[in-house]
Amino acid sequence: MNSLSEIIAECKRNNRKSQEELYRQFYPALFALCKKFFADEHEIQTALNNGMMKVFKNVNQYDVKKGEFFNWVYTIVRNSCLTLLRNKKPEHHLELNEETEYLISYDPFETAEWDEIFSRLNRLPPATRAICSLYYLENFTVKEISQEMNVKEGTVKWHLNESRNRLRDGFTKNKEI
Amino acid sequence: MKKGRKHINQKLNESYPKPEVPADASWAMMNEMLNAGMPTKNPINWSKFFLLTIACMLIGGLAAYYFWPKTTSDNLRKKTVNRNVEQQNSAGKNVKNRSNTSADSLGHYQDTVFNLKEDLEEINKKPISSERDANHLSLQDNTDKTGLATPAGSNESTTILAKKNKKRNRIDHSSTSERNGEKVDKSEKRVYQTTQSESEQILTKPDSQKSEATTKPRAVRATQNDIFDVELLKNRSVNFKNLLSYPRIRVTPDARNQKAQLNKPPGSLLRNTGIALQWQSAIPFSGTNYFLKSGDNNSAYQLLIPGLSISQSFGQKSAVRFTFLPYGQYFTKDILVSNTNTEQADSSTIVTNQTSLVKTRGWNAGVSYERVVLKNFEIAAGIFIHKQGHSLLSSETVTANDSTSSFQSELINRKYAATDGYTNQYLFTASLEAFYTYRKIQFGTGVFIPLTSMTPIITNVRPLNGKLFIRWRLK
Repeated sequence: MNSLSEIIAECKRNNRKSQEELYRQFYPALFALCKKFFADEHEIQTALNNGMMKVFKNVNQYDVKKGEFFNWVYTIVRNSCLTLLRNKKPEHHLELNEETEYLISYDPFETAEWDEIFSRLNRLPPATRAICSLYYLENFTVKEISQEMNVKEGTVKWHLNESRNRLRDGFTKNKEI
Repeated sequence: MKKGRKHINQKLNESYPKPEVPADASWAMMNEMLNAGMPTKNPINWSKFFLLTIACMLIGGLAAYYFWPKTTSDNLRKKTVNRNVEQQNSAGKNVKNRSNTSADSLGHYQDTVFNLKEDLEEINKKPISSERDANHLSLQDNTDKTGLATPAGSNESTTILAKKNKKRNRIDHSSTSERNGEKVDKSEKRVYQTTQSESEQILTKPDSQKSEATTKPRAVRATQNDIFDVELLKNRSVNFKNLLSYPRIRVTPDARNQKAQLNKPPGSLLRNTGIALQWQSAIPFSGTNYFLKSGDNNSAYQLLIPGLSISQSFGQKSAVRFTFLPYGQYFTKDILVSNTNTEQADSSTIVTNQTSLVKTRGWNAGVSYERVVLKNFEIAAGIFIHKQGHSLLSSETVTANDSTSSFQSELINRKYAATDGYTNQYLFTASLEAFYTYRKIQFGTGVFIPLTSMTPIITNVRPLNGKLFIRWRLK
């Protein structure tokens, strides 16, 4: 197997074998990332492949000085997920103006394993799942989520509250542990 | 952001769960997208490309060499050589009739005339006796630096040569094939025997005739119509050509003037005109679609199309050059010329299309002023006009709905049409160049600075383009 720098160099030359090697190397991590936002496998694949398409098209713009390659790819794929989420029709227009200190102070996913995280996320509606993932798993702020998802901050808070209510059982169990 | 900006600092050292969708299936979908959006190009075989370029240049060079009209000087030289050969043949016949030289040696006489130059070069490489050196020196003293043999000098030298040849004949008469223990080759032997016969002929004549023979030019008498290319006479070869009437060539001042007039080009205006073939490639400062055209086909061969360049010199350091290139490219920085969002009938699917201008192509022509700044190094500035006959557009379409989105990319070749409005028909640029001259080849580089906008859609789209060129001066 070639080193990552060699793979990147070949990807810049549009070498299909190297692109496949890179894709397979990052696939588990990126699939897990997309799964945080989408329950449907087709949506996960779409978001992942749209993101990787951007990666392969713009791999020449990657600058080593600015950070690790995986971090760059991860960010692009996550933005691809957000783009896909934005293109979806908003399901709720409710707003909530409660304080978020409670939400911030408690992270139900911090010590959980991947299987447990996904099982909990599967209980949530799509939009709530995405916002919950961004807030708890990707550490976005409410303001950032509202900017990225193109929704109001109150709507973000409503989704977070909804996720808290739906995951109450899991939260309680975690607290007891 | 908290926790060390986790959302922008990810690591690949976690043990991620096994994806529900196998990597093979997902890659198959990714591969389809890549084939549609980023098709793999056939790698350019640079070795073949350069070999083809060199072959084309060689064929062009040979064609130009054979079909280009010969100059007056070349015709004159050919004419002069033919005339001299005829005279030598006639002189050879006279020698054959008058001398007692063996038939074998005279049978090779014509060969001797034609191969004289080569024979003499071979002889010059061998050790030469002191007598021959003396002959050379005596004749060289009577020739000026330009190789012109003066009549008086040639007469005197002929006398000296005859005497010395007689002396050599007495000493070395019995051993013509060997001298100083060294075997003499056939060509030298022939020339040497001819020398002997000539010497004997002169010496056996009566005093009155001898005097005439040694004091007057013989066999060839220059007239105003006879012009001889004196450059063909070499100092060292005069020794042998002397016996074949070469030193007796008289180049009269009138003949020199006539030759000079014949060498002069017919028109004074065309005297300083140069013609050259020029291969030029535009260099984009951004973008990688240099050899691409629509359908992702390769168009590298188009670089082989040469242009015509005509220059007119003024003085030693200035020139004006007109250049016409039948094929040239001009690159943009993939400027976005169209961006549309269309909502389809079901109102849930949005099609976003972005079209960007990659490059244009067409003929270009211009006039530039050149100035010599260093030895073999010149700079130039000029004005060019580029016909933007065709444009290459990159179209990217994203179709998105609630559940999925797809991406499609393609390159489109569009011929200029006023209704399209993607490009202006003509682009005016200023050009700055620097080039180096090595013999008949000029290597140069430069930059095009647009004076007008490439496209009417956006004002002031004026990307710089570089250029590299090779110019082969035919005249």
